[in-house]
Amino acid sequence: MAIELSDLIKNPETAPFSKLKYLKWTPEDEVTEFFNRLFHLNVAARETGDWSPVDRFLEEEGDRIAATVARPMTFDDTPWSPFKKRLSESKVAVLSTGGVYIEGQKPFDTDGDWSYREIPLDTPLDQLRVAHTHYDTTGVAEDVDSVLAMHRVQELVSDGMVGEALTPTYSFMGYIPDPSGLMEVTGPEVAERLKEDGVDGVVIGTT
Amino acid sequence: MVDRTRAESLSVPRGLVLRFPFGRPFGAPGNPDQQRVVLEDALTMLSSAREPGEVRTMPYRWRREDYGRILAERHGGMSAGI
Repeated sequence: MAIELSDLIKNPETAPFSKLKYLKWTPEDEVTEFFNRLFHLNVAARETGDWSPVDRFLEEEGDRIAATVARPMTFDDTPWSPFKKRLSESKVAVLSTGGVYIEGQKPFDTDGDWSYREIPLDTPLDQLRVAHTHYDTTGVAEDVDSVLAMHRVQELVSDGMVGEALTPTYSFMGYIPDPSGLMEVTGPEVAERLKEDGVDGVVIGTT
Repeated sequence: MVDRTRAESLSVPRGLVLRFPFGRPFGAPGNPDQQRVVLEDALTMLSSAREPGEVRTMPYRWRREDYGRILAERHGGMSAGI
């Protein structure tokens, strides 16, 4: 899958350390403290050969920094629909927020975009594209199923575990600084389409 | 999702948390067994979740699991069948 290298360059915060990218929005003294602690753990790990404290530190700090800096939206109630059918008799949809689109469709605006694209599950791989600059897209560029499991769900249908897979499915680009359009327009629109198409369950691969 | 706190605060109906790197929610590129394990877990949760907002953290260690074996054990020794 083709990706725009220039888009990757636009996003220096895309880092293999995942949530640690939020360090750039953290006060300088906390960043210094972070690297001090990492350095000390690194020295200790070299002595003992046990790197698990380094692993743990990076995981925990990532969670802590993400929770502090990138506060998620909160909601008072939780939507819920019981799922009562057998999976083998159900129609399921696999969606993604990974910014996948098809050549010829309008690319997502990576500065913020609450629109969606329809992706037929039989789309040839060489026609798939991705526009998203807020996660590391080298994975999806190599294998779309790492963010949109469109081939895996078809295999489950072939094997009889799932009754039917929705096609075309829907693709969003998850960087939406102002989500009001998503919440008021495209979210409800896609939900309504899913209901009209008789979809029983939805899995969203979030990036 | 990769972040339990986020899954909980967003009040998703059902959340599956995987300690995977950002941007690879179903698994590593080129690892269909891993992607399938995750997709099956998510689909299974549709019916097995008991209450709104249940968030389940899976124990998988990114690339250090034998996902083919997990599938084989799950499906009675058949390599990829159900």
